[in-house]
Formats: sequence, structure tokens, C-alpha cells
Amino acid sequence: MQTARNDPQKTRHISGIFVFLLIGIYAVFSLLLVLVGVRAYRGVVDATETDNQLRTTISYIANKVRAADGMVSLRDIEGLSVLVLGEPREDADADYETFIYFFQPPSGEQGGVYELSLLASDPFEPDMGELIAGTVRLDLSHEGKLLLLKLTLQNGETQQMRLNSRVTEGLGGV
Amino acid sequence: MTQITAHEGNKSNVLLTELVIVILFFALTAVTAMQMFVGAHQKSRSNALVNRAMIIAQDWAERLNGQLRPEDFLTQAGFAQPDEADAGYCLPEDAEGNEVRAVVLRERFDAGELVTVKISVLNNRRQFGEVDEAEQVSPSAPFAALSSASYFPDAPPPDSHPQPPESGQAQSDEHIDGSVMDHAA
Repeated sequence: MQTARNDPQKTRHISGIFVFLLIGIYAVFSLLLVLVGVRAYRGVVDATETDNQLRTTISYIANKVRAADGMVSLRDIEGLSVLVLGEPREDADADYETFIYFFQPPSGEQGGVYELSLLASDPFEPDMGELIAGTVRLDLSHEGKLLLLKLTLQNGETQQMRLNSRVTEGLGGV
Repeated sequence: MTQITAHEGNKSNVLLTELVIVILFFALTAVTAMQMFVGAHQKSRSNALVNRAMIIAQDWAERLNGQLRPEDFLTQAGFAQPDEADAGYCLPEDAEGNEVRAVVLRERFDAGELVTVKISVLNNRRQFGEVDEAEQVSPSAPFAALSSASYFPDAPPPDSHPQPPESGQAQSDEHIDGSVMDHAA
């Protein structure tokens, strides 16, 4: 008799546990799906940002060099490797120069590729430049008339590209 | 007492059936969502490969720009000479699976010669490893393609008054135009 009374109770308990187990499995798999989605989204965003930094920086510098049309030189100024692009202007009293360089401010601010436009007679001060691309390290060198850009991203990836500077003579020593 | 137990049993069955149907629909949705996540990840990786290929193609185009003898330059740079006339020079795959091919075309005009080098970058790797030979992307479908053209005018005759070349223009009227073709696997 006791067994007959306990059996329905036992069955009811097992049914309840099974229902909760089922709901728990549903919740766990929902959570896993959300986590996978977050990981995929983060990966896509990171890859897109990396590609944008790379392409934007290279395209910007390449267009600047091509627009300079041969008035390109590499100089070593205060320990920095600086790409100098000449901009002679007929409507101005003096010529301008555009400096593109990698700079890490001593104040601890974000380092990156900077650009600075100055009169040819003004002194070069690297901390007055405008940040073009942060979290990107730019190394400049030359192979004859070819300007070599080497970019190092924050994730350690490096990419290099050569640009034909169209100078009549060498680019100048670094 | 027996009727109450049977009634509770029926309610439990209905609940279980409803749960199973809910989980079934959840499973279907999860499968669709996972397909989307994987597709987005693959597309992202494919775009990254295309960007890298485009940079490689631009690099070679800039190096070849203005070369009077691009065939010699390509040979010195490690390109294998073509087996067929229109196959192009081929640089073996690098660590990322990028293979560079260059086809040199020459067109003769009255005043000079136009030398065009068509550069293609191919990558047969999938995002998650090597592909089977049967699934390889066709060699005619590169990731990125550019062409670098240089015009070399003929030298003036000795009895004429030669004009000095303009600075930056030298002996070439150069242009680089290109397109990016995405043939993600």
C-alpha cells in the first residue's frame, strides 16, 4: 500500500525534475548562442577596424606622395624619420611643406602617424602635428626612388608597401 | 483519487509537449543564427585577404612603374618565367598563400612603345585552412588585379633640338588603374 501511494509521488517528482532540466538546457543553449554571436560580432568589428586603419593610412600617404609629384624627401629630424612633401604655391609669398611622421608624445598620449603643414621657413615641432592614424606604427625608409612604408598595427601585424616617389634624384638619406 | 492523478498526468504531458515544441523552434532559429555568424566571420576574413592582396598588388605595381625592361626586373625579383606566352610571370605563394602573377604586354605606336604590366594576386586558401584541389578558386578569378602602364617615347633624331624631360615625368607617362575582384571561396 505504501509503495502504491509513493509511486505517484515519485513519478510526479521525476516529471518535475525533467521539466526543469529541459528548461535549464534551453537556457544554457540560449546563453551559448548569445556568446557565440558576441564573439563573432567582436571578431568582425576588430577585423574591419584593422583593415580600415591599414587601408586608410596607406591610401592617405600614397595620395599625398602622388600629389606632391616628385617634391618628396626623407629627412631625419630630431631622431624622427619624417616624410617631407613640398607644396610650392604661386598665390603665396612662401612655400609650404607637409611633414608626415610617426610620433609617440612624451606626455603619454596616444602615439601614431601625425601630419604637420608648415611654412618652409618655420621650425619643425613634432607635437604640433595632427593625428592621422592612432595605434599604427609607421616606419619610413627608401630603396632608391621607391619610398618604403612599413605599418605595424596594434595586434602585431605588419604590412609594407612601396611608393614610386617620382623624384629625379634619390629620396635623401634617413 | 485516480481521476485527479490522471488529470495531473495529462497536464504534465501537455507541458512537456509544449516544451519540446518550443525547444524545436529554438533549435531551428539557432541553426539559422549560427549560419549567419559563420557567414559573417568568413566574409570578414575574406575582406581582410582582399585588402592584403590589394596592397601586395599595389606594391608590385609601384615597383614596376617606369621599368624599361619589366621582364628582367621580374626575373631578378624571383618570378618564374612563363611556360606559355600569355601565362605571365609567377611568384610562388608566400606564407599567407598569396600568389602574384604578372603579364607583360607591349604595344608599339608611331612615337614610342606602351608597356603594360597586368598584376594579379591570387589566394586559394579558405579562412579555416587549405582547400581541396577540387574546390580551388579558378586561376582566372584573382583576388585583386592592377595594371601598371608606362609609355616610353622614342628618342628624338640626332639632328633635332632635344627637349629636356620634365621633372617627375622623365620618360614615362604613367598611370595605375585597378579593380578589386572578390572571389571569396
